[in-house]
Amino acid sequence: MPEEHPATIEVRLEVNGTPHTLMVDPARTLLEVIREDLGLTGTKPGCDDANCGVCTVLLDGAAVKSCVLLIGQANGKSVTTIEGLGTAENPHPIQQAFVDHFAIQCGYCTPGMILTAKAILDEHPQATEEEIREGLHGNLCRCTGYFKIVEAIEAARDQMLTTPKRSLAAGGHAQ
Amino acid sequence: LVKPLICSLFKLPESKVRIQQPYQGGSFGNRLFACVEPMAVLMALKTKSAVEFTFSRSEMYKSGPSNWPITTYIKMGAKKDGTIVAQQIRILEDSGATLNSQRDGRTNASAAICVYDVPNVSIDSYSVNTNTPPVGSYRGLGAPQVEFGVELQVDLLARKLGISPLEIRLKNVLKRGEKNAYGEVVTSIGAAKCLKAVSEAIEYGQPSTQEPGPWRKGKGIALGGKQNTPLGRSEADVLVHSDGSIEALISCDEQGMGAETAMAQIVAEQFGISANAVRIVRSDTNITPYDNWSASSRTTYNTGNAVLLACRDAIRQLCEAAGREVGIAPHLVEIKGGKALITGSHITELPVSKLFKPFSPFAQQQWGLQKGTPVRGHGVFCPAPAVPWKEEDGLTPRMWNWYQYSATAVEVAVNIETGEVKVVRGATAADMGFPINPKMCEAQIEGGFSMASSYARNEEYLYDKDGRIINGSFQDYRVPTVLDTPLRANFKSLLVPDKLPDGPYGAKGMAECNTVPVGPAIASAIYDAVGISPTIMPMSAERILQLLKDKEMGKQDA
Repeated sequence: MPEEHPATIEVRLEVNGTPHTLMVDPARTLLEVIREDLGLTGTKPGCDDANCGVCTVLLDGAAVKSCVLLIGQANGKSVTTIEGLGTAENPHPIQQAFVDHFAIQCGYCTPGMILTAKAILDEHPQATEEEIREGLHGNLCRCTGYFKIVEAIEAARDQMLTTPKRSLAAGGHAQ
Repeated sequence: LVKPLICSLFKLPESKVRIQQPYQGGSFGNRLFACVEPMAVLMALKTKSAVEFTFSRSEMYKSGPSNWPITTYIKMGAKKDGTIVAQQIRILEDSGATLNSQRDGRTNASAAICVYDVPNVSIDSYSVNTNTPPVGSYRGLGAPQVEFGVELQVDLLARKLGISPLEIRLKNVLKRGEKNAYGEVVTSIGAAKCLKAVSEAIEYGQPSTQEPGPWRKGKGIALGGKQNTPLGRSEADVLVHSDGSIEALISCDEQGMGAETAMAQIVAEQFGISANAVRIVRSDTNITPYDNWSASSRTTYNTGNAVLLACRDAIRQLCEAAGREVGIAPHLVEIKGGKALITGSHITELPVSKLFKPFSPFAQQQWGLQKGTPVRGHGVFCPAPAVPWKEEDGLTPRMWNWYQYSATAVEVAVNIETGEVKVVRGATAADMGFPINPKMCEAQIEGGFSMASSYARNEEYLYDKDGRIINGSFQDYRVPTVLDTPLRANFKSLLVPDKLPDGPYGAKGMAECNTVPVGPAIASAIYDAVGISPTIMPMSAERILQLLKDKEMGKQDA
């Protein structure tokens, strides 16, 4: 007898600092749960096959494509979405740099770009233009041609290097 | 545009249909004609409840309208000094299974005649229906495809005559005040200045420095132009509230091109206030006034002119109110920074908010402006109508509103072992009439360069024998990543405006044309690098390698 899959599994997640316990169909993706169950629609669907990066979230600090991550793979982990990074009043330096440097046109790729940028700068606080490009090439943008996005990330890098870490902790959970 | 279509498709009274446009992702033209909207309406009518219609990425590729292929045949005649005297062009475009094609050849033909001053022109343009998916408007509306052919031909001519590609273009480019092949007077053209700017930016005259290994470098330059289709009426309302705050009601699209920002800037400039103080209310058929559509790079020009007129209407009313208040003619009043500035009276200024009378439910005879009721300025802009061309000679004094221009120069590296082409350096200069927001104009140039340099080298729909797309996903149809663009220091976006007399502050539009010269500039640079002349986009590694092999076998004359 083939083993029957349970209709739902219990998943514990910390999303943007808030713990959640959810009963979820194990065939669903992290992206679906974030958007549909938690109502956090800042994370976008784009291609459903991990090619465009608009669904990028941070899972225990690492940038992952939530459209191809089954919800069980996120069990017990901490998730940061764009809603957890900063607020309109107190944006994260990367968010502010995207605004200041015109790195946003239609904005659909922006949440994924910003979270990927955060993962790059967390890992390499002094990332060069080449390192930023290398880290960013899984995120597609059709509008900007990427120039101003890279420019913004470089500006955020410079600002974060010269600003004490404590004062950067905008919007609660994110460091 | 959407509302009348929905009403007629489903036989619904206009009062029952309300369209609100959310923020949309960039579509670059292919959502111009309703595609998902009728599906959603159909579902809503059947289920009698709120519905959402979503295209998956694969459905988007397979049934969402997009760009289309064009084959262009060109013959040019020139004098020994490089003056082009005649061109004969045949254009074949594959319109796919598009039923209601609006293509009548004019847009493609216009692309072929808008850049150079050629006295004798003959063009035949054919639109052919095939079994491939329907096509829709896409950034450039055929101009990138047709001008790829024109620019390659100009290069070929320059080679035959022994003059440089830059020189032949400067010699033949149209100048302001001259007539193009339709007989239209060109009122704004920065094409020659664009060429010079990009040539300087990559030191076009200097040969590339070669390094050991399989990569060969070369430089190329090209020019492009694109017509603006006169697409009817735009309206705008500008509301000046009694507390001095200002709202603009508009119905143009906002897909990331920055139309809202540009409109807010126009209002801010007219009222002498900060753009942050202007609130934009947008695209709701029950609230905001009519706008035909945002297409053909027209928004800054069309909606911008309507906003300008609405501002002037509101300012006129404020000047009259201030004039009445102090007993002076309205033309002696100026509205600036939330104040009425008055000449010829002992009262030299009044805050705009003071022009509004306090509201009282019992007072009689309350003439003039009243608190809580904004002054409403209305603007309607309809561009001068196009005049159909004459049957006998194809001439018309006004085919379009204006043309946008741009030039691109690139340095490429061609791998002679694999055929791969990299863009190592580049510059695009664009003539947008006047840059209302220079940073956003730069951003449009950069995005256009990235898009066009990718479809010039890589992007291609592949079909099975029945005309179905077989590479309909981001996995198999590769749009450019950040690694496909040059390093930031190696690309320059240059703004080279030539004011349009009837544009708001001289502005026209820009975001389509900057894709036009990219492909031919890359082709020209490939020739400079390895002596082959690709004639098909995309100039993929496979095609380049084949041309390199053909050249080795002596099949192609270099």
